[in-house]
Amino acid sequence: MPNLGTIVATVSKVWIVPIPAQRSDSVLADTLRGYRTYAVIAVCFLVLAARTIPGSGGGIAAAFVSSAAAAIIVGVLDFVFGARRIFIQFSWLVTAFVQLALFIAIDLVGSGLEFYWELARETDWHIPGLVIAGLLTLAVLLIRSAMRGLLSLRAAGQACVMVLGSTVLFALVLGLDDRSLLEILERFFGGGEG
Amino acid sequence: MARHFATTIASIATAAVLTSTSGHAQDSYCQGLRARILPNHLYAASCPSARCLVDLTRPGATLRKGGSYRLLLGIGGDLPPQSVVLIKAKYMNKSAQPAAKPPSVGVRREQIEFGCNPITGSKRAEAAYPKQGEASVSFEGYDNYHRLGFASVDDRRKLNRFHFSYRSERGCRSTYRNSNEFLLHLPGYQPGFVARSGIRLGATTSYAFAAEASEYRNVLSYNEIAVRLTGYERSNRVTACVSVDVKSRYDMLDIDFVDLQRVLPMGTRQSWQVHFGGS
Repeated sequence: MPNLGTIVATVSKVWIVPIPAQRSDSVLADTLRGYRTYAVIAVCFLVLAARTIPGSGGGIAAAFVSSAAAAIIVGVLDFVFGARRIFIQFSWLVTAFVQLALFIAIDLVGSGLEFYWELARETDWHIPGLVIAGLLTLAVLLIRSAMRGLLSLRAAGQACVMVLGSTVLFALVLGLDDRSLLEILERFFGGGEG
Repeated sequence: MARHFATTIASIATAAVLTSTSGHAQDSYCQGLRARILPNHLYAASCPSARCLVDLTRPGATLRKGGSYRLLLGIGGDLPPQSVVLIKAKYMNKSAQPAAKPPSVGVRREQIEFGCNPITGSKRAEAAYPKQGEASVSFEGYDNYHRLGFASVDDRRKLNRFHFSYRSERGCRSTYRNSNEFLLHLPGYQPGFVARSGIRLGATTSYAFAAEASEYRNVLSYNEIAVRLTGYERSNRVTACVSVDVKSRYDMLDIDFVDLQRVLPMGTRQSWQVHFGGS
């Protein structure tokens, strides 16, 4: 049974990997293999927790669908840019996981603070938390890269693109209300039982 | 009619009510009947005329079931120039059996002229929310929002719009600052950070919804819950008036008025019980 330290070390290991000279680098492929499924499930669960599962009604289905959609999109991005080694040295899935975990923590603490609530009211409920979580994620990503001697201008640019991409995706997924999600589902899959 | 409590708010002698108002049409009741309203007295009126006014502080006062009423409260004491009043109305029938789950909560904020922008601090009028009727949120969402700070997306968004910031003597102040006052049961219960995290992650439920929480069983007896935010602006005396529409299709109404600028210790709210009978 791995302890928390082992988990954090593993997450950190697959989050930032040096871009190898060749796409077929077997060490990297071994590192990445196997974590992706668990990471997709973790991201799905965290999106659910970030939205807060509604107590009853059709919102539950909408929350599950939006969480699954977000996790799949991030998983595909991670596969395309990570597994095929196109240009990126960071894992999109782990970036999303860290940003979501930070968002939940910030929202838990911040929702008790009047200033945070006022910002949320003036923008939308998830915007302040998501922006702060995005900036923190970027900072952690860059610091961690620097500590491993992998920080470069190119890497910093990649990190910015990833965090920005995740922020936009989560802004959409967390911002959609249950009714809009249900309408989208009905459009794709017909009227359902309603 | 039983008046549970009001004594901590000083009863100012019978100065006539010189004001309300948040500037919306419904407070024509307060405007029209101000000469008749005494501080710390609760009234019902079926029309904005003195002949329709019933003093509910009179022993045995009962309203007709099915009638259309507006309740008016005279607010006494050393009042701030303007303030926001939270009104919590819980309707029930005498023979009501506890339901499996609590009713949803209908929220509405009246138009407020003395709102403010919390970022810039500038004055701005807050339109009524929603424009008509009331917005419905789940009881769990309402409770979690005010107790823990979060709720599902729809409920949270509605409640963010329901709350607002207003100008007070201490600057721009949000109604959310008094979030505990909005709770409908167990106002003293506040889970710690670990429990809050567990609830957020779906790992556990709040004690506020536990079967052993006796106050929660009371909530299950309510047929309908309505929460309103309204305001008053004092003119030049020490008394103000707020009014609210009530539904009379149930046997009984428990109604609490909380002046958010003059929050009193728990258990010392102005709480009233209104009975509807006959037809």
